[in-house]
Formats: sequence, structure tokens, C-alpha cells
Amino acid sequence: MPEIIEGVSPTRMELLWLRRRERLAEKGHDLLREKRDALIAEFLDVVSEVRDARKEVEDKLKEAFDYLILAQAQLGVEEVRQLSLMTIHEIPLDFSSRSIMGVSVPILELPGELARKVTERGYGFIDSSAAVDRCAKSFEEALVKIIKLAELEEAVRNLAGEVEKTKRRVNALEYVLIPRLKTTRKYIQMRLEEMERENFTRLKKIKVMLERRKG
Amino acid sequence: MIAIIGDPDTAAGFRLGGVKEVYEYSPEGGEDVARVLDKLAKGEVAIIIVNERLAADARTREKIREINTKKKGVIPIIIEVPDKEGPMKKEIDEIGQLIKRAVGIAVK
Repeated sequence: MPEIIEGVSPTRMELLWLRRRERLAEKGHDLLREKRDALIAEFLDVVSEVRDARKEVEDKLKEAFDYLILAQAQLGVEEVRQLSLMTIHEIPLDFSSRSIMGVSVPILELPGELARKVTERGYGFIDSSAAVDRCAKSFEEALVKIIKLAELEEAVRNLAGEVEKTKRRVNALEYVLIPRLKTTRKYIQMRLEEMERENFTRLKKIKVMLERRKG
Repeated sequence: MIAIIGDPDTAAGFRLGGVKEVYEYSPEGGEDVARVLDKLAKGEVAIIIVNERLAADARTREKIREINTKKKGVIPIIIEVPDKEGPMKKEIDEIGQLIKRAVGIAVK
């Protein structure tokens, strides 16, 4: 049996007030429960996407590293490092966020094409090889996939946090607040009834006493 | 902007892919990774790509958690990727744990 809320006086006013609170709590509970269910559905959707995206990234990176090792074997580790220093440039990235049921989820967008033409990469043809080209291409492709994965993973993290929060609220209402309000209301009701009965017998007694005095 | 923290091979690869902010570290440099993460988190970097093997270091892991809880907007997003030896066998499956906490049961 849940305990009653402390500090309430058994009055009719308090009873009305409690009834109103109980109704409000129940309405809030229903709404939150709906929110929780919708969030979980969304969450599970994104989770399966994340799993696929992660797999893709891992496969792509594996391929990219294979080409890297090949390039390193052909040209030497230091040479590849030198070439890589020539290719750097800025990758522009737009980010914004959208909101799924009040949860902000990032959107990352590449404004341009990440994949560059061979001639745009910045290293010379004479001291590089086809393996370097393939390697650079794979890493560019991997990056696109990683950006996608980053977006999804972040979404999952944020959604999970919100699901947890909403769940805690639903449970707090369902198992703590609403039962407490209910027992408190019952307690006041019974107290009021008891007081009424006391009053009734008191009146009876007075009536008898008055009649005896007359008679 | 995208930043990479990784071992020399990962660094070279992503540099070839066109990333500018590349930080090379060997797995022993745990403290440095944490410091670089701190620095990047303060800047305008949208995605920080970290090698799984580097992120597995206790101090780095702690730092990543700290940045994730402290950040206000959606960035920076820290993402872990495998290195040339392939995906690591993870002791803790982060996504799996999230599902467990959110839904209450493990969903495959």
C-alpha cells in the first residue's frame, strides 16, 4: 500500500484539489506513455540502420586499408606518408539538426562531392602509383560512409537518452505519484465519512439529552 | 570539419582521403589523445574520428564520455573506427547497451 502524501488535512477542499491532481497525473501519464512508445519505435528503426551503416564502414575501411598496405608495399611507408601530406585539403561539412519528438538529432551534409578526380588530389603521377589512387579513392568513399554513420550513432545516443528519461517519468507517475494520490484521496474520503458518522451520533445524543431535560 | 586521431597508417590513409586535421598517435600515447580530444572539442570540429584501439585506452574512453556528456549542441560527434587490423572485439557493445537500457531487453 503506497503511503499517503504528508501534510494533507482531511478537508473537502483538499479532496477536490487531490481529485484534480489525480486527473491531471493520469492524463500526463497517458501522454507520456504514448511519447515513450513512439520514441521506442523510432529508436529501433534507427538502431537497425546503425548496425547496417557500421558494417558498411567496417567493410569499406578494410578495403581501404588493403589498398593502403599495397601502396605502402610498392612505394614504401615513408613515400606514402609524403604523398598523403600533399593531398590534404579542407572538407566542407554542413551540419544542422532536426527534431524527433523533441530530441535533437544531427544532420551532416557534404555540400560538394567528396570524391575527387585523380588530377585534383594534388600528388604527382610520376612518384605515385595506381595503388595510391585506389587507396585515396577508397578512403574518400569510407569517409562518406563514416559521416553517415556518425550522424546515425549520434541520433541513437540522443534517442536512447530521451527514451530512458521518458520511461523514468512514466514509471514515476504510474508507480509512485498516482498510487499516492489515490491512497491519499481514499484516506481523506474515509476521514470525512468517519467525521460525518461521529457528528451523526453526537447529534443523536444531544437530541436524547434535550428530550430528557424537557421531560 | 572532420578530424582524425589515429595510428600512422590510419593517419596516412585518411590524409590521402583528403582530411586536413590529422593527428598521429601510437597506442601508447593515451594522455596525448585525451589532450587532443579536449582541444578539438573546444573548436569547430563536427566529427572526430578516433581509432578503436586508441579509444580503448581507459583515459581516452573517460575523456570521450566526458565530452559527450558535457557538449551542448550536436557537435562534436566522436566516432570510433577500426584500424588496419580490422574491427576490435569489443568488451562493451555500446549500441547494444543503449538498447538494453532504453527498451529493457536486448534486441538483435
